Amino acid sequence: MSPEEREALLASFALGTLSAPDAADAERLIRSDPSAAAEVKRYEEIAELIALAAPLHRPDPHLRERVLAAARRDPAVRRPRRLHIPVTRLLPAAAMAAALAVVSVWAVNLQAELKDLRDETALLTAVVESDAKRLDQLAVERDSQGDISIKLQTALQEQQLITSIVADPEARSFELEPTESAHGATGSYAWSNAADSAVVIVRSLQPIGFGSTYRITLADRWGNPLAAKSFTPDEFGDAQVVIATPAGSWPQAVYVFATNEDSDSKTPDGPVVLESVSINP
Amino acid sequence: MTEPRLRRPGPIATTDSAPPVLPDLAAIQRPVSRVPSTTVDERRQRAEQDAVLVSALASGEVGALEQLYDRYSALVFSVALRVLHDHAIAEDVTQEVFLRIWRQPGSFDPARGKFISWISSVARNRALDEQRRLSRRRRAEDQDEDPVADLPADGRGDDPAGAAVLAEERRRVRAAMTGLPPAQRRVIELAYFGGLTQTEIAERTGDPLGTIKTRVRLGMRKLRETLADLVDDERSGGNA
Repeated sequence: MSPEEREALLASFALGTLSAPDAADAERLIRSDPSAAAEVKRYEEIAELIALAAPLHRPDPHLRERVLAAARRDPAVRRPRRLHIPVTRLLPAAAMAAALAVVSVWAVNLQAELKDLRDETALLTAVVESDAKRLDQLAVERDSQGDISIKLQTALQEQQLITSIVADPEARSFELEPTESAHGATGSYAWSNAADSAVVIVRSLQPIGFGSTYRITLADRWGNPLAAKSFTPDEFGDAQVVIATPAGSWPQAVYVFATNEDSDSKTPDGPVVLESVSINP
Repeated sequence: MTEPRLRRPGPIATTDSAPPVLPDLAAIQRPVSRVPSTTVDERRQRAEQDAVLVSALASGEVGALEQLYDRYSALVFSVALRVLHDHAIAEDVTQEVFLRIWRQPGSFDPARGKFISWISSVARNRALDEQRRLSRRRRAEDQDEDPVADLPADGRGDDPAGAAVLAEERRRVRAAMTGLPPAQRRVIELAYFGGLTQTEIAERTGDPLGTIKTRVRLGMRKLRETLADLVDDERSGGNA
């Protein structure tokens, strides 16, 4: 490859104008040559500036209020709320002491129920959002690539598994805990013994460099790995991953971690970004 | 089991691994209107303010979203409109981009570059996705709009000093683009705003693929030379 060809390949890669095979060539070059990676980075910075060349237009002034109003009522963002219950107005002072004890027990139970409901709601919301996104992606690929029958078949099979997991009343679901490496990433997990499958939905994972990938590992209560799967988040760091678990196994721990692309280890060999809290059967 | 037991590796080493500090939004009040001349320091200051505003989104500060919208809605909308050529859909994309930021502020990493670069890329990618989804890909050269024509500033921006900084960068980039030979500029615009591959550009323009590759190379190299100081500024100041 001549210096001109090399420069053309890297500049075009940064501009996002390469066909898939050429882009693969560029990625190989970038992985193997640090100077190529630096050059691409430089060209990417230039490519990002090109957006500023777009003729200046302002959106309708009403859009501003629409965006802010949508943000204020956005259920995807949880904010602390205060619950104001005018208990003193409802109960006579004489009954207050006795009622407090009852209310305390009731509140503990209610909190537990609410937590379960929140977990279920979060999971269902995450599943629906991920499905919508996947359909969008498939629609895009249909337009750009024509034949997507294999991808569609895979998506349908995974969707059937997800449906089985979510519909299983015995399924176990919970939110994954972000580690200090999460940097804003969140995740949900559900596993069904009947379906022998788990679904992990992650959001806002940080981008990682060439040669690295994200992987999910499920482990039993003793820490022995049961299943693992690598995945690539989309541009927003989101992904929905379905993992088959061995029949009869009982996953107790979930780890989402960054690892080397070439590694096939089921054990986290890179930084963990999301993990399950300790669970006892 | 032949696999070893799980062990808990250490954290990812990043520049922002320190405990998060709640931003002081009061410290990011909109600056008073100033003479619209910008310096590297002003651009860095704006990049730092952007990073603080984005971090404020994580705690649900609508005011932070409001300020980011005032700073960048015109840019996001302009990029979307340039790609889609449809006001209504471009507004939908603009709304989607800002709500995405609202819901997932963590998807922007200040350590990897400036917010303006990131949001421009997000706007462009979402617009291209929408264009493909709706099967509305059009011949960019068929549009009656001059690719480098601009609307006059109408003074409606709510962030005059921020707008001045952005306007200066836009002026520089547009000057660099108009300074390219028309054939090179056209190829780069078809690639960036049209989302076309080199092969598709060659089919569309009727030029040999090798010619398209050369034009991309020469055009990008010229932009790199002309805009070197903006990129250097981004590298040194965007990571603040």
